[in-house]
Amino acid sequence: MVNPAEWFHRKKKEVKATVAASLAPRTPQPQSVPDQIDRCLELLSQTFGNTADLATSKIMFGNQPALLVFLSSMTDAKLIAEKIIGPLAISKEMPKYEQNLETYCETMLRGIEYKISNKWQEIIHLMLAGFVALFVESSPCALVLKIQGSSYRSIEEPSTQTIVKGPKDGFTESADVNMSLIRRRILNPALRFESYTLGTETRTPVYLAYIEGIINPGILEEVRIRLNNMQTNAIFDTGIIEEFIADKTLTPFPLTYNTERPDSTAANLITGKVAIIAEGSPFVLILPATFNDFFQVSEDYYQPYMMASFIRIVRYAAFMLSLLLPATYVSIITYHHELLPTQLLISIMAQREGIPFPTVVEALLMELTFEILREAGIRMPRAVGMTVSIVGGLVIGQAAVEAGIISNIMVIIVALTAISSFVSPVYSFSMSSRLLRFSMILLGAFLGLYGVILGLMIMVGHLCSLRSFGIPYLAPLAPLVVADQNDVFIRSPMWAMKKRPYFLHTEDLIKQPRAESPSPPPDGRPS
Amino acid sequence: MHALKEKISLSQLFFLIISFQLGTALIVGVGKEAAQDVWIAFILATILGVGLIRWYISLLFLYPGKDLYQLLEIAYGRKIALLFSFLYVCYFLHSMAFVLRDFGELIVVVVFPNTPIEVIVLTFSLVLAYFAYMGIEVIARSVEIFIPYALFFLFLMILFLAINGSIQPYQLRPVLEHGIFPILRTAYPSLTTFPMGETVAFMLILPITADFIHTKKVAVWAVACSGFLLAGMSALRIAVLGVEQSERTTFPFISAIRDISIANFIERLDALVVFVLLLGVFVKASIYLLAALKGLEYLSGIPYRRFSIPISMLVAMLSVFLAANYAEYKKEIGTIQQILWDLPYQQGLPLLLTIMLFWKHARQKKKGEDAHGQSG
Repeated sequence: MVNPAEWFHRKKKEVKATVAASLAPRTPQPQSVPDQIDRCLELLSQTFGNTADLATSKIMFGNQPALLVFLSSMTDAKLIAEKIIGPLAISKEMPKYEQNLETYCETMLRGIEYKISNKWQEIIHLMLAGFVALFVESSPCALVLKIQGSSYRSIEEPSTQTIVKGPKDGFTESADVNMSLIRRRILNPALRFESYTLGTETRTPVYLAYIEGIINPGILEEVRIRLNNMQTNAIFDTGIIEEFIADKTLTPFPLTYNTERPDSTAANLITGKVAIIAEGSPFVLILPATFNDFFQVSEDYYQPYMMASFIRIVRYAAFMLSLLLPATYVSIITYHHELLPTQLLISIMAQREGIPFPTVVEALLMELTFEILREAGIRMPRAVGMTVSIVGGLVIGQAAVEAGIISNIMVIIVALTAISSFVSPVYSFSMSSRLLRFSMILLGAFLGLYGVILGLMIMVGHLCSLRSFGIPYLAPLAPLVVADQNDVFIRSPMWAMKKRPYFLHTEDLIKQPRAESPSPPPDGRPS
Repeated sequence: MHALKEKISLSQLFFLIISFQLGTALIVGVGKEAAQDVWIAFILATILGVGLIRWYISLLFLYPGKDLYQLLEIAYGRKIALLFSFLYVCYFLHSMAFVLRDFGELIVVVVFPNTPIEVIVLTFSLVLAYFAYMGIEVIARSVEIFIPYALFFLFLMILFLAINGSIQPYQLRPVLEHGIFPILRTAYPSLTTFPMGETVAFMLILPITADFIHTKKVAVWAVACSGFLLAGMSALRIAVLGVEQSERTTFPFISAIRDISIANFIERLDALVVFVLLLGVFVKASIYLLAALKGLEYLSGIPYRRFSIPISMLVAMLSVFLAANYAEYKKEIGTIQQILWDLPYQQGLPLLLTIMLFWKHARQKKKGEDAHGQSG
């Protein structure tokens, strides 16, 4: 018999051993660059195996044989020929530079970012990032030149956060392009991009953007610590980073804001938040996020403030509708008939005549159908997309009512709920109301409006307990900050917003101290 | 002690006290002996209530940062303080059971006539346990979120009553029909103990307020505001229902709301108002629960969050076992609760505590002066 405690510990030890094994590099790597190019070639084939995109060519560097190595998949062949091979062909006449790589680069390879290194690991990493390596015979150093060339999608209009009036460019999958899109909007030397390499296997470049002098140093330090403590093997989207650095994952609400829009990213940086950009993801993470951020669109600031405020209130109302409408309907029809005026009650009951299901079943059935339709609509190839809307809208909606399975009013309720759930400008936020809607329907079915209210209380309590990087999620509503209310439910005119939000505790509180409301000249005519 | 110190702001304290005071007092009709002069009794009781909260806070000011249980320890020493703390825990839990019972009866009578009260009370206790587990900060913030809607809704109800023409001020006359004595008897002890004196539970909440120095002012204003609101509401109740009907109904405020019928469309709002009143009940019950849980933490040394679910479940059962039916319950709340629980714990024990604390304080001061004199 095995002692259970012993067995448990043995199991633990085994796991520890496997973890240690996987942390060690797969093939032993040399520390420094050997000075014979034949040996270099041997080591390269050891490191990269026989991968097809490894290009090696022997060339002459002055009068010394040299080895030019690069990954054809990450570099631009045309640029290599133009910028490296060309100058090298001429450099035959300059033997005096042959030992001095640095001087050579400064005179012959002007304008190219270069690096001289004798660390094998570093050279391999740079090659993976699109650098070209040049090993020279009897030189202990290698020259690495930046000739990156990989094609990306061009800058297009964002597909998830479209606006009517305002900038139309969106982030792409290239972190460099994304950074330039932000930098172009904030021409300020205080804008910083901190570089991180995350993912033990993918080694994805990740950048942390913030504005020095505005950002709260506490938040910045916290983000840095969480990024450094992140232990993951692969990053393909900022969504993966999100789950590693969020304060809490056991919540339906997103604790980070992600956006495809450079203008909204820039605005958030100016407000005193940080942004995380990852190579390969067109979504930029913005931290810390509060509940109200998910109801604000950059367009709010580009259109007249009265309209913007009205639309914002509509968004909040739509969120509540998408969360509570089906649950309220179910509980009123099941328990609280008296709340409806008699005429309305009669017309609803007349429609429900002959419906074979209880209201809950009807509601769950329709909501589930809608979720299926939505998912199918997203995943379907574009060409058959029309079919979904026809099948969904006509067959399931109309036909179900005509067949007497579903009441008309339920179709209206589900449609209104569905449309309301699209109002939130951030896709990840609408998921929270989609998830909670089902539990609300069940609560409404079992305990009526009382259950719905209890569910709502639990939800608000949960929201009050959430924090995003130390900032209360419901700030500035709870805890209440009266001075910050000018940009929550209503948007004040631009000149009235003189300060950054208090709850972010930014280093520089006042953003436009001299902003004044426009006033016409006293005699009513331009002078 | 705690890794993360919980703090509530002054505005949160204000809202907490207001909803605590309005909580059940708005639901059950209190002060029936004073008939149409109940509002005068309320104003008198408010003055007494303000005095009470000032008294409690001045006790806390003697040793800033210490709560009721720690004050008891300072006054009597650990062993006797344990006994008194245990008694206070029982008092808070018992009061919470009363709150739950009131609420349960309300829901059963107005909304779910066929549902057993156990279901209502247990589900509500689960929510309370969740909030108690989350702590006072979360409770205070949630109240901050809910209170604008609740107050707006109450205001809307008054507006509807006015539009409906239900408010008939002549029903408030004659003033002082039976002389001053019924009013005085209503003001003290019954209105002073419930709801005014119940602020004794805030002796556990006040010490964690962020700006402790200003709590006195805020708490006094909150108690005064809630007292005048209650006075106004009771006057409204009489003006709508009249003395006779108001005495006969179980939940006079709800019955008054039931009067609303505008354009044959806005009707039966009582079932909705119940859910607005739920906020006050929630605050009252959770403050009592927290006060009791803090006591258990003091008694046992175990973090109070561990107790939240078992204790709230126990209280839910206690509230059901308090009385066999509502008539018995009303009798109990009138006599046993007031004489056996409210008076001693709201006034008796604090009085004793005050004497002990002042004695200790004076002795300590004297000792300090002596020591100072000796050294100097």
